[in-house]
Amino acid sequence: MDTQDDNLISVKVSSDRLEATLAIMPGIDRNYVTSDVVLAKAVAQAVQTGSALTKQISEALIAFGDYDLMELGAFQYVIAKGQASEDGQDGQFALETELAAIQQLSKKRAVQAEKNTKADEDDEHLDHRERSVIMVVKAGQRLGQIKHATDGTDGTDVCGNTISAKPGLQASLQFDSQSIECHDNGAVIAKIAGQLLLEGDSAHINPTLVINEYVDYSTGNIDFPGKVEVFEGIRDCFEVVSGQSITVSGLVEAADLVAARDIELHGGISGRDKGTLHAGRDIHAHYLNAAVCKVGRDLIVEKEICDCTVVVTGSVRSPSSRIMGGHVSVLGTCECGQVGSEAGAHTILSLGRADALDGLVRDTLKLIGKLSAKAAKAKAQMQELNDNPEASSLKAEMMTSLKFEASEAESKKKPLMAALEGTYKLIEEKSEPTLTVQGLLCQGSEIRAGGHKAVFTQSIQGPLTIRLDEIGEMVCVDLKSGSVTPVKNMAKLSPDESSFSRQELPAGLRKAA
Amino acid sequence: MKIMLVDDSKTMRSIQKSVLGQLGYSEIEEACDGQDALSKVGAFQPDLLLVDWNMPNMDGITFVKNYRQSNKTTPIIMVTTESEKSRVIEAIKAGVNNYVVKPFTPDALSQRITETLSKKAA
Repeated sequence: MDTQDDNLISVKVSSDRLEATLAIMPGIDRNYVTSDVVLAKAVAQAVQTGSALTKQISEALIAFGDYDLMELGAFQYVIAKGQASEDGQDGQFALETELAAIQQLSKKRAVQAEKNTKADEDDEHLDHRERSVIMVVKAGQRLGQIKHATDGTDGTDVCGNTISAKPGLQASLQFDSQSIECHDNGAVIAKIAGQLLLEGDSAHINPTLVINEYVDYSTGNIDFPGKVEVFEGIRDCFEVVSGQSITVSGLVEAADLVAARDIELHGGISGRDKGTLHAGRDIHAHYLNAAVCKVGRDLIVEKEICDCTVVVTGSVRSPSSRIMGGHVSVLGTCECGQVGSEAGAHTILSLGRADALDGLVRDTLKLIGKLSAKAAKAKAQMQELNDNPEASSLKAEMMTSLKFEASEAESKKKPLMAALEGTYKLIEEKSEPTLTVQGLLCQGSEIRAGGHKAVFTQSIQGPLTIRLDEIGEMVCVDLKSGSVTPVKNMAKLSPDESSFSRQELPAGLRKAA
Repeated sequence: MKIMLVDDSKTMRSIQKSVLGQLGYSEIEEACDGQDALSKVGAFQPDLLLVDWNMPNMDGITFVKNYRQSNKTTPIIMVTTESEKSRVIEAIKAGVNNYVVKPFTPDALSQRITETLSKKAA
């Protein structure tokens, strides 16, 4: 063996042991370079032998045959390659696309709030009130998919040794089993409706939505199936809708609140003639100012109802509050501290009225009228055909068609009449046109009841009750002395044209109404 | 329950369809004359047929006679202006099970349908 030539040829294994490279230095006797020499060098480096290695060595030597060492310098050729290992992937929880988008938006808003910056310029065209940052989910809704960790694939180095793959780590997120269920196939499903919260390593659904600050651009509008609790207030033009109840600790500005059950305002609403409250059951508030309120059951206000339009289907139970300006319409009883103001704010109280239902009744009556007209027209046409003695198959078909029209109109009328009757029975049962004023009933106040409207020409000191007597006349009862005075002696009386005219009802329903 | 309406008047078919809808029948096939009905009965296999008498191409009575050659049991109600006794007898001989004379009210049609189906069930 020529030692000098032997030193000029070598096989080197890379540090990751995934490649073996043949290196031939200038000055070597080309005849010394044979496949046996290269193989011996490879074996010396513990490179795994076999047909693949033999083939690569042959290719290397062919390449070396055309290679000019003097001009190009050292010759290098990879004669063996290993297979790198593929590490396993860590497990993770992938949120459903729409929830992930909300989460992303929430993070973005948090950064904007921290930096006190406005929304991105490219987002300027969007109404951020419409983009809630709260992940609201329904029971049974798919929340996402758990991707389990994988083991990875082992590799092999050029010497034939196994390179072990690193297995992925399992997802660390813990799901609250009370509110979330994880299926065997990795699907994650909401057990209850509410707010999905991903906090640190845990995920749960809160059936109550708690907002520690204001409902504003940082939260967007809220539409939540459960209870909503807001610890600050609700900013102008925002909406909060709850499938249950809403509680607000701070001020409600000119915003819209809709709750299937109760609305509780520890402060009040300052609605600037735009704010609305709509509760399926009760509204409790410290004060109501320049707002429109629809109350399915009772209204309880501690301090003041000022310049509001209020429709209450139950009772007003606010013995210490002032009703000043605006129009309050109550189906049940109304108890308050004061009506009107010494300065003469025009205050209207409608008693025993279901204004919320009157609109529906009017619409139903219109529909009944149209159906009756349709039936009558069809009957008149049938009469015309009957008067014509000529018999033909066309006439018979026309008669059938008209009979069908008349019958269809009549059958559609029936449920509407029944609903109307039910509505009036309900109004009759719940209507209690009684106003109790603990303090002052101020001059200029307008009380409407029993088809009359009384504008008080003098202020009356309470406690007093205004109600209808046996013949339907408005009377005022002094609750201290028990004396009864006709309201006409203290107020200007006139017919209440705003009240729903019972004459508009079909004959069969007038009695019930 | 599958019901076939055979009438050249679209209005009549729509009235009949509406009455059937009120009775809870929704699987309905329509044919505009006897020929059209014959081409559809095989695939549709109705459980009841409402057939008009006077129609173009093939009238109702011819259709009934043809249909009865292959099907003796499915009830047929003739819905027609032909109210003369001799015509009713002709229809019954051809294989009609019940008869509704135009003009009819939705209630009358509904009553005949219920009557015919309950007879078949008995």
